[in-house]
Amino acid sequence: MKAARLSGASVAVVAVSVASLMVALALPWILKSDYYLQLFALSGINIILALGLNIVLGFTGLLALAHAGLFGVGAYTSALLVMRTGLSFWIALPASAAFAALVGGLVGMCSLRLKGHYLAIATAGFGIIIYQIFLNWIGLTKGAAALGNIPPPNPIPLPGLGVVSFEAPVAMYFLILVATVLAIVICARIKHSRIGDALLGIREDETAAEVMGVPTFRYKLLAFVLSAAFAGVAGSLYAHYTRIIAPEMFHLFETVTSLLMVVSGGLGSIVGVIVASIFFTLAPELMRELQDYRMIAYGALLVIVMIFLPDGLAGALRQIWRYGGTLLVRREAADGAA
Amino acid sequence: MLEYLLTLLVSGLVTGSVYTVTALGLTMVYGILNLMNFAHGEVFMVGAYVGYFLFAVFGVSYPIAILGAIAGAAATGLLIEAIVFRPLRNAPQLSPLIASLGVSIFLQNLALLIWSPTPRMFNTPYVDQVVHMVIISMSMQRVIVFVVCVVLIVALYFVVQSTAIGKAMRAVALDAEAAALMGIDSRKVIMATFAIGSGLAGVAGALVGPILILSPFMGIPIILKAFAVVIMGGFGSIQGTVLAGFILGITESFGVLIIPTAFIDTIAFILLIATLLVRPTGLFAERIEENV
Repeated sequence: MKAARLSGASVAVVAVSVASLMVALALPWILKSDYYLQLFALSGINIILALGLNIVLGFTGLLALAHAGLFGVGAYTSALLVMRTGLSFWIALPASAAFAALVGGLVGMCSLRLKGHYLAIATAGFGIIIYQIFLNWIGLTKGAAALGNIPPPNPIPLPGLGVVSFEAPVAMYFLILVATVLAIVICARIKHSRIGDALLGIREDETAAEVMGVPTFRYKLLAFVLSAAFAGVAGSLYAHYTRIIAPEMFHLFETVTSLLMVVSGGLGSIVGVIVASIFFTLAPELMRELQDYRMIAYGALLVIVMIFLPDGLAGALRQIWRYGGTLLVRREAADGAA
Repeated sequence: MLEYLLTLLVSGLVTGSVYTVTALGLTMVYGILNLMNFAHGEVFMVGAYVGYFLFAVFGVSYPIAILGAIAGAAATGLLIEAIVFRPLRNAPQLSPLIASLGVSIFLQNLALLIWSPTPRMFNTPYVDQVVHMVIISMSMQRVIVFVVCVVLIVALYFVVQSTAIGKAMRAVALDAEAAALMGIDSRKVIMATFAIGSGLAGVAGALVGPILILSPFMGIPIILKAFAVVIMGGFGSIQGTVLAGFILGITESFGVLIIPTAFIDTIAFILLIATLLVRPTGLFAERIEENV
């Protein structure tokens, strides 16, 4: 009975994934304006960013607050490599992921001796240091004046499409879609691999994991590095998509937006995080007149989710699913009795 | 030169005293609830604004404005405790921390909406009054800040060491269950801790408000430094917090000699990270905890 329901669930997951991918592919033709397409492109970037945070916070149970800073490291690295050295975007993208991963690893090396609240504060400290560097190394980043005129990704020849230029929003949308799908697949593979088992083990009980022979420090460091690499990719895409970046976008408190996406989606749940990321990218844009209240609402929502929905959307759905299941079983039992 | 160095030292002591008073509130809450409260910085901000409105708009005297700031900050702290932290008392460790980040963002942006982003000047007559001490001179406001802070630090120490409520606080911090069995009402102790801790942040806000510029985001740098001080001081230790607070104030003050002023705010974290690498339990290891 249980096995049957489980496989039913996984069939449903596959069906929903395929359907969502079809919708995502058709979006440029469904949506009337480039503006809405842009929102979905931004959702993709936010999904990659939030999935990165999900690896550290959701899988491993570590609150790392340097995430927005690492997102910025990816953005500035990519933009500066392309603008200063004339490197192709296609090299700058992996380079910025690698550099963000390196910085994330360094942050981890220095702060992973700590746990819980102290780890959060130490990583927040790194977030602030990174932000201060963006703001004050004016010769490199132009500081608060913002780094503008970032070129779009270099045109590339693609089979069947000829040379694709990324000036057009549609091309950019598809690039981000491909990156997002890859990020989702990689994240799912990590979750269901030995690495994922080790990370989830650390989240549930670190001492037990250590006793079971999991080298916990190494795995936690790996989680930091992977998470930073996701942030780096998201940053690079963001820089070449919006074409302008400024230190304020990578301030410590910007991590809160990703944090909200992860906790309201459900810690560790990939589907939940995707849904929440799309929702929190679209909602504030579609309610423009409430723009002033956005951060107030985010703050309040973070509190409400922690108190009333500690397992987020995914947890709530699971409960409904289970409740529906018990109803079904009860009805079957009643039918059987009758 | 000597004059310059002495001026730096004294100004370091003044900032250090403010960091210490703000951080003590955090330390006390941490000691009892194992909770790092991000919203403590906004409590500081509320204190500064309440003091400003009472003094500059309603025209009450400065000491009364400070008392008003204490009341406003304590009320804010108690409200946060009742609405946010109490329901999360038995939640996993990270839940209240994430929620406190939410409260912090909420209060910053609420203040932005109500009090507008316009920075405000909180000018007491003491700001322009210069006091000469042997070879250095400083504003009367800074003297007041330092003296009040030191008095508060000493007073807090006595409250925690010798009064009934202080002993109850230490008992709950040491072992909440055993304290409950001894008939201590931990709910009341927690409320008292929040009231005192928030009140301290409120005083700090009303005291340095006239030196800084008031803005809805003025709590951010303070809370980050207070965090650094609490961790450097070591796990809920009052002596450690006091020592670390003054060390940070003085280091920042002398830091201008070595690094560009724009980077002064990173000193706190460089010190913090250095302390953690050398001595992860902080300067005074009060208790060996699961955080290291």
